[in-house]
Amino acid sequence: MSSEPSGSKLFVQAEGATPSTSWNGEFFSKNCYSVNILTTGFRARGFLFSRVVGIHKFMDKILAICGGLLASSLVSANDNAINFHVSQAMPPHFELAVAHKPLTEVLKAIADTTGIVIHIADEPKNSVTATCNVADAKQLFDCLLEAKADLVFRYGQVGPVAKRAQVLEEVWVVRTYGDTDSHDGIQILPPVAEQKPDSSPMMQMLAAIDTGKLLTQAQANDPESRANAIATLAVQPAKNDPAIRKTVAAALADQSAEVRAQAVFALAKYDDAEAADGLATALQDSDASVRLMVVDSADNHQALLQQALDDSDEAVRAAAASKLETLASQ
Amino acid sequence: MKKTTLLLAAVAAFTALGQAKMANAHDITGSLGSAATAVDYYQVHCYDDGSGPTAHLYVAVINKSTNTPKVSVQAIRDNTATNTTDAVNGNATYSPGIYQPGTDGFFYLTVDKTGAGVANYSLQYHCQTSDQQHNGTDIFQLINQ
Repeated sequence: MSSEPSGSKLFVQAEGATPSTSWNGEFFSKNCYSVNILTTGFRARGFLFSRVVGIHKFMDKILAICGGLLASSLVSANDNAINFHVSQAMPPHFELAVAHKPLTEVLKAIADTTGIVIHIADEPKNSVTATCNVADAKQLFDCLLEAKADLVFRYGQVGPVAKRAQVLEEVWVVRTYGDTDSHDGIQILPPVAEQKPDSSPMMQMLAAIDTGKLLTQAQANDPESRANAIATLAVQPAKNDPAIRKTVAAALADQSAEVRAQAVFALAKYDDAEAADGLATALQDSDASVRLMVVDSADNHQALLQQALDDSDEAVRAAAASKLETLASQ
Repeated sequence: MKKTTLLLAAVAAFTALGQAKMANAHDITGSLGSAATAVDYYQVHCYDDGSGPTAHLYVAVINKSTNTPKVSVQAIRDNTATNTTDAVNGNATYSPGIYQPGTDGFFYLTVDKTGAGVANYSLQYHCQTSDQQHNGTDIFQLINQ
């Protein structure tokens, strides 16, 4: 077990203790500029953490990483054979030179200098010798540990929206290995909503629409209302709902060509044999606008597109040719 | 005359280069139905795939149909929009490309036309970094008319 002075960013877990994420709720900041953290350590059976008293802002340390707001041009730690510098430039540049020092001490120097919180699941017995001159924090760990450790990285985001950048905020050294082992780190990217298309503002708005009302609207007397309902159901995140699927299938036989066309658009969102069969049937529709929608929606159905080259309608033939040309060029 | 010929050859060469430069852009082909009110609407997701953060979305449109209304595309991000129109139907030249500013996230494209009649079009679109490097680009059609 090791005892860390107040304010340290290095947390060493006692041997045999269960890994803990006790700071999750408060510590996982969204960006460097809005971090106000109350961190209290505690001593309990099997666990030993550093003790940091009071509410404090990490801005000074974290902005050092963000680059440009430190008074001095370099932030460094020198500890009798641990030579570690972080340049002020954005992105920051890291220089490390260490010879035969315990890994824990080296990680402490990095943690205390950069503000990156480092967790070690077990106290490594390794001593390290390394010379690193790298452009980002993750490379620093890769260099220091030479892929001989299981690592987890957590990134935050900094800067204004127009120039947002990722910064490494927290690292877990889950396990270290001997010379014959090598393992890749696992990166946890910042939980940015727009990383997933389903979480875009538009998709969130669509998901918030009452599906039940859409299903009811799909039975409306007015064909335009029915078409709009089917069109909206087509892009619902919950399109695999059996009720939606059933409604779409029924709409393929609607008396309105506009409704049938939107049903084709919806059907094409399903990637299964039943949908393919439905599209093939719709390609025989009496209305050219429905057949055109089949072609327009059949991005990867080359057989359907080939078949559409013989359509009686010039616009359908032209659309099929255009699609095939695009597919051929990709 | 000779200078004009050389100039035209140079313009043609640069135009070809411009087209070739965008050959690696994403392409999507669609059709606007016969109704004058037909609109297609897309969501484009731009993200850093390792090439760097997004600075803008590049878009251009071409109307592959002849004897049809002109086709335009509007690129929308937050509270700003930019438009480009294919001035000549049925030729091999895309509309002027537009660069809609915006960071990693979602852009929206609206494709429309100036009147009735089916129009088959293609869009070239790509998310790019500040130094014009292509980065992560995904598209999803929200409205198909």
